[in-house]
Amino acid sequence: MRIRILFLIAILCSMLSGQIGFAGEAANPGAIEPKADQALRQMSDYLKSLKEFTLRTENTTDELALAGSKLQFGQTVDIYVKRPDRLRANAEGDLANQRFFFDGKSVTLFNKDKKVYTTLEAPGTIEEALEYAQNAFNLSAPLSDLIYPDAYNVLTQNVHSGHYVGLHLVRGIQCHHLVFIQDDIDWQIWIENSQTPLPRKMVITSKWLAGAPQFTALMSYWKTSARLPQDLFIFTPPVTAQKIEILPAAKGK
Amino acid sequence: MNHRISNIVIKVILLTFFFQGLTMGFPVTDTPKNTLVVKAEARSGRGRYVRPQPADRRTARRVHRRHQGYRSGAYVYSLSSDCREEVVSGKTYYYCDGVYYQAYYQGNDLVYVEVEDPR
Repeated sequence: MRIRILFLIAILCSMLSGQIGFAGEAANPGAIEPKADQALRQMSDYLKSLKEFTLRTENTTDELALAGSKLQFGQTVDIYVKRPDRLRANAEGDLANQRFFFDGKSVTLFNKDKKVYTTLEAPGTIEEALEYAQNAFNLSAPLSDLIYPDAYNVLTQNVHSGHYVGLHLVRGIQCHHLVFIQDDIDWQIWIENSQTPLPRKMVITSKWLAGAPQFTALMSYWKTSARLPQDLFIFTPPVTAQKIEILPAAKGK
Repeated sequence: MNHRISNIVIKVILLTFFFQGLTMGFPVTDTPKNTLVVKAEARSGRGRYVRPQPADRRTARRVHRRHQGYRSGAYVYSLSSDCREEVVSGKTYYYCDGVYYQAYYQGNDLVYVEVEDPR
């Protein structure tokens, strides 16, 4: 009997603390400090103004493996964007060497090592195709949050508060360092303090997971007025490559 | 008396942590915790819940059989090098240790799904 009461109290406490701590807070744009808000908006507006651009991002992803050890895997991704409807990414990394293509009609993922690819019909703009690929197939493009033309709204969608940390250097470039708090993750962004407010670094922390694993991205080699050839975005399967299917996203996700 | 009350308080706190753990997705019970790999979230604004990933292919089959409703349900992230490749009706299958697999993309990851004997 006493055990049952204890369980009941514990469940109630757990529900209460959950509500007070996280679920009860609604996204409130006013909770973003004006200085942080301004820097993020400037970056978003600047990225939106870019029609054809390329960048390189050097990413690391933490994975918690056997016996609680934390492993870090690296990946370098070259991203090519031609608004409104072309996107290409070449990823070379510890876990996979992959190519991502969007040619305005379909999205293709090609695994260079295993020589397999999958293609899904996704006509429209970059953001329409990415949304569809994400929702229907859990398929995402690297740093897609920044590629969307409405980056500000996408980034702050689930933010509870945002803060200005300071002026800090990223590879010698002075940047506004900002931090944003969400339910499950916190993310930091470093935005160049200049007339070209480009994102230079991003860190995402999955704060409630044991070991608080992080994703980091260092962005460099920005070319903000590139001339990209059309065939860069078109996938031509190598003769030896095999086409495979992509599993639909699990329901309820 | 005081001792009994503090005892109860400690139990409530411990159980609270337990339920919190369940709701936050920590592998508190039932999950073989040594076999799960948890990956950092790589999206911010629309950040979704981080999914646990199996680290070991043998246990992966066991773990995922309960969660995946696709085909026979089980999949692995890699195949051992002694698997045999077989082409049946133009499709490539991998035969490993009495089980047939077919390659699929699951999100951005390549997985091998257990399938019926294609022959």
